[in-house]
Amino acid sequence: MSKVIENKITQRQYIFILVSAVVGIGILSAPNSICQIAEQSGWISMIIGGIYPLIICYCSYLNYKHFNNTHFYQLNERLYGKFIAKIIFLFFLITMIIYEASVLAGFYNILSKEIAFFLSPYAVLILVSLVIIYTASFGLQSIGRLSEIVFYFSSILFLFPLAIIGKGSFLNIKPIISSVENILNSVPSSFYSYAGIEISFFIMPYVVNKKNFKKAGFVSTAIIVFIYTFLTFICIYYLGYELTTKIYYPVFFIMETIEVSIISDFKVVFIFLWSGMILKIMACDHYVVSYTFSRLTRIPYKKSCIITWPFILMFAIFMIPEHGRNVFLGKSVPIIVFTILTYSIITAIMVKIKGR
Amino acid sequence: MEPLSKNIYQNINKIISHLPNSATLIKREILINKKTKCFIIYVSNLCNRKSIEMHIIHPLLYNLNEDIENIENAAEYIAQNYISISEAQIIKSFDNIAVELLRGKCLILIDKINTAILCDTSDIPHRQIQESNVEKTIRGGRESFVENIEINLALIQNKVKSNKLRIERMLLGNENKTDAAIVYMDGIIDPIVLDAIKFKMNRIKNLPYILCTGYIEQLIEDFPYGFFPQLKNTEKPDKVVSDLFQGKAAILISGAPYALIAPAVFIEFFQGFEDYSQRLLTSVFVRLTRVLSALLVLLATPIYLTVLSYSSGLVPIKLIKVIYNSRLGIPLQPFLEILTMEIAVELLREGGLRLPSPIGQTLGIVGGIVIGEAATKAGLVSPTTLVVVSTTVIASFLIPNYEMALSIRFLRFPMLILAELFGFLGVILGFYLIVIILINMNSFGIPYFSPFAPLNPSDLKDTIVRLSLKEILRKPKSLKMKKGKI
Repeated sequence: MSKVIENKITQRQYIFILVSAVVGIGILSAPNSICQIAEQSGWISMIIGGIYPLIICYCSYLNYKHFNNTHFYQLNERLYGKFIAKIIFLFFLITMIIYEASVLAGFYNILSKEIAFFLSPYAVLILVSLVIIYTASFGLQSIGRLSEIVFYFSSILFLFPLAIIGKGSFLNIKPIISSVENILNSVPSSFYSYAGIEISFFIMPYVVNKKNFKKAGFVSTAIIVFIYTFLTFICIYYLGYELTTKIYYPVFFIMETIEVSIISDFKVVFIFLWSGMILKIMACDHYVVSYTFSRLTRIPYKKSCIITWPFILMFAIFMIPEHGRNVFLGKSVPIIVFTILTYSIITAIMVKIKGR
Repeated sequence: MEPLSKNIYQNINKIISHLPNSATLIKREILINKKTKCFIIYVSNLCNRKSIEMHIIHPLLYNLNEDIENIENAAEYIAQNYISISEAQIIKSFDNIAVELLRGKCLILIDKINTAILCDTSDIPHRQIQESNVEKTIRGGRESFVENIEINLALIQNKVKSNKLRIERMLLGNENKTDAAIVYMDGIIDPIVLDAIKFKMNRIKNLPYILCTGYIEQLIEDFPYGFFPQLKNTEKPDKVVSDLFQGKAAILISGAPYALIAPAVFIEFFQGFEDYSQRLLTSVFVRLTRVLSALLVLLATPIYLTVLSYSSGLVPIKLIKVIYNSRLGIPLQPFLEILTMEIAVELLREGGLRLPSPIGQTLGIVGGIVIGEAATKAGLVSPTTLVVVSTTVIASFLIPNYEMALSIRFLRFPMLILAELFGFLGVILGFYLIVIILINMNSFGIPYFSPFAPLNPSDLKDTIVRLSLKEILRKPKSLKMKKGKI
């Protein structure tokens, strides 16, 4: 009796996993950080910053093209030897733990202000992380299906800002180019918004139909860049760049201003839909954490899902204070992003040289 | 397979040893051509006696004047020349003879011949075909299945006059040997799905006894502890035929007026057979109300509880004032108040279900109106709580499949507990967990939440909404296992 192929994903699921792994908590504050430097041209920086996910997706494609379905760990072993491969995986493990813990802590911070103010942080963190472990324990196939379904339903979220389309002013985005220098200077910080796309390296061997695989990477990058650019543009258009830089979660602020007759607080509706996105981004991160941990320690994947839980929880508790989290991420994410960028480019060259 | 012997008494004893010790077993002894012993064996209350007398005993006694002991293949010769029964079979071994006798067949054993004749003389008492009480239709056939598997198969065969129709029979249960059949359309059903169904059916056939389709459903489903039904149950032959054409299989067993349909996906449980007979737009509207009602059943009371207990800012001040004012003087906490009402409703529903319909209706009126009114006047329950709870009860009746409605109703309780413990966060996480469970379930290898996850855009034409019949009268791709299907 044949069974459904386990732990494999379709190309469409690959696209949505990439989108899921990037679009999360950062999207709420991305316009704030980008407009600090690029001012009203922040949305242009977001488009240019799309080069980061594009490079990562293209490098994944090169890995596939030259090494076929070789798993990421084996690929590193073949390129760099066992020892360096372990170090690279350890780096990815720590990176993903930081990503997951920061999303978890950020999610708690949002929840604690709106719907979970009566709960202790530990209760929220434990509860949410248990749900994440349960989700991730089903493996990549489950995450693929989840990413697909949640993306469709939470796409409604991106339609909400259209409600305020008539209330903004095009004067807020003019002149369209504030300063070319500022735009270019803000591009690295837009790179940080796209952190998480690295999951592409790990899931690429599990995609079943690799026809048009390069296109799939471009499509996912286009979706991600569109979402970020659209929301940044809407924030600037509605709030103006000065106000955008003063509100930490400008997207959240816009949602607050939407009026629906039977709901007095639209934020809660937004949180309900947006939670799905956050839970799936954490599930994606936890998949990579458990996967890398499992490869490094040779502990089965399901057990790795549970063993890594205390580390995530510990990191998340440290990251609860918003200021501390921002300082930590402000220092660590640039290092991570540029290390991964450098690694990806070097790997792409090595793959070209050593590949078939 | 033990062969029949030439000693007639030895054969009879062997057959009787396999039959229940029943007084209805008849062993009629006759002499063929006034010298050869012959026994006509049958179970009297399962056979048509007149048919046996006219078409078996009479010709053997009065028409057969040959010396059959010298005839080669005597049983076959007699069956061809003297037995005027439409279905007569020559058997050489004891295999399944006892089961065939209990199906109402009649056995002719002749002395000194190691073969026998098995004639179909069955006349098993059964209920007449009637209109279904559970699955009512406004437009569509009225007939529904009965407890007799042969009649049920005839109802299906009458509607599918295609040479692709296949009926595979089997016996279920070592002790009660229930007749069962797997019905499918060859070339339409996916062979892998069919293999999975057959594999699971074969796995359960050696259990001591199987009495109804409910047993089979629980024994062959992939997730026995899952919340949601993974096979569809129907008593309408039209529904079975419709599903057969979509590439599914039906499982029928003797004694059950239901057919099990496998595989089944989640969204199907919200689709009614009548949707396809109705006007396009009205059927789309009805389907949307069903999905909305399922969400209401699941989320209305937990959200109401959250609003009462934690997130009163969610609703406008004028509305929250009405809700809070209606709760003034209510001694119970919101959670207990809602839980008590929900349990009361479940008691009324379960009570009404088992009672004859006139008394059931009375119970509904007394319970729903009198007790509801009395409880509000006595100040035990607030009117707004009553409105919310009764709305969810009405909404649950919109879900066309009873099993699915029951599952969703059951899920209200864990959702309520989550809402009480963690407020809106509990509702969010509970809902998310339900989605996770749904997307990880499979029904005979077919993803349970398809065509949504994994997405199959072409099959979305017949899900929450439906397009015109021209677009959807074809086999769904979601029910097809192909290489690389996730």
